Amino acid sequence: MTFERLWSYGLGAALIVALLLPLAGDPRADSFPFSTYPMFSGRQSPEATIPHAVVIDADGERSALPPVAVANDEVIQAFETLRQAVRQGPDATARLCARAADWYAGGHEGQARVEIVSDTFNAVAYFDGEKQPVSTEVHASCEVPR
Amino acid sequence: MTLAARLDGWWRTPAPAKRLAVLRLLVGGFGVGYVALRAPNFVSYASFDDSQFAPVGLATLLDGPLPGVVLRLLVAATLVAGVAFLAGWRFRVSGPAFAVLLLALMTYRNAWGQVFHTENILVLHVLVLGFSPAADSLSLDSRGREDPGDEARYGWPVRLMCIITVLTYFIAGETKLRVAGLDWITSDSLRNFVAYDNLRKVELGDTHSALGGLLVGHPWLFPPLAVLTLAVELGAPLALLGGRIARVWALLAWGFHVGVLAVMAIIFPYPLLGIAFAPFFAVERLPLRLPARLARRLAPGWAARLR
Repeated sequence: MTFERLWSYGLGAALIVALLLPLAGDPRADSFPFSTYPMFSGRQSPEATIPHAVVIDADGERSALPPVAVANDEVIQAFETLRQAVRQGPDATARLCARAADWYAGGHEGQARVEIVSDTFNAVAYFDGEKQPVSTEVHASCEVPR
Repeated sequence: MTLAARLDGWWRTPAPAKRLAVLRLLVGGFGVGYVALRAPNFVSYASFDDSQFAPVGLATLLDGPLPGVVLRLLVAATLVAGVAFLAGWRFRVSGPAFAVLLLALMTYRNAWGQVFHTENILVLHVLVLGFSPAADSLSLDSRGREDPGDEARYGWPVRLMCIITVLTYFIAGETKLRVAGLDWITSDSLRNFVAYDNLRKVELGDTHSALGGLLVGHPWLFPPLAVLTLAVELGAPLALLGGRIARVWALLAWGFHVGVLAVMAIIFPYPLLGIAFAPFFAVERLPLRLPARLARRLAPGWAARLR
């Protein structure tokens, strides 16, 4: 048995076993690079709670802040960052609010307030025209620094 | 012939050195390009709150987030090693170096509460290539050397890359059935997932799929789509039979990603560009005229091998 042949079987077996190991555990327990790929695997109801960072300007106009205000350019990372902060509680949402407010202050003038809110929608009805949330919860509120 | 001998023959089917080398160029080219283009995103994690750090995989070995300067060095080192990997320069070092650095960087970027699933196959393919003789042809290291031709040591890495691709899809399908059972097909879950994913993109100011928003109004579409999805995922092992079956499966899996892009605006760049499925094809037969002209200017000895 040459070293090359041994190496081919060793590396092959190690990677294949590592790939298959997640099958023996909780299917929702995710990792990298060996994963169960649990995304979109559960039973999903039409009810969807979406956390946002929103800014309310001096005129009371409310608009959603982009992902980069709370995380980076990746919308799913921003979504998870917001969800994580909501799970962690008031201190975390307050810090995230401050981060979003600082970001907003860097590119805008005038008085404004940032809020971290969760809106709950019926996701299917949303695309049928029902765009108003069925409920809203404010987790944090902070003034944009001037 | 015994079963063990048959399996050994299948596992170590000879393949051209050039095939493994072209895979190195395709995978390495994607890897370097991906890291270069996404470098600002990777470096952005240095600004995240420490409480957001949720390590997975190798990142669980860390006590906490990396200092910003270390993260920047990791990105830079990955790029440097990647270029050397791509060029096939000092591959005994650059191959494993790029494989390990890319694994480290991608693991770190997935360690902030969201596991993305877009880089798994890339990282594992680079691991295989980095620890195999993928620079014995079409590389700076192989200049002046005769092409080795078909050997088993170039065949098993290609086989392993195919297995990695196949198992990834199979596991995704198996997880759906394990979590939701046949409800994943018969219930409104897929429809609700499409609606949910598009909704969060709209509400968070990102590009969403207008087609997906339109389709959720037609619930009857989704059970057949769910069946198709599971057929591609659970049918993946058939691709290991090779030949036309493998190519048909690769095409169907690529089509699945086109569908996901169309209905959910989710981009899996590595499969969408076809590179995840490249190991199933005789890629050494790709037309290489343009790279050959370029190589004749840069490294004449190497260019002769591209004909």
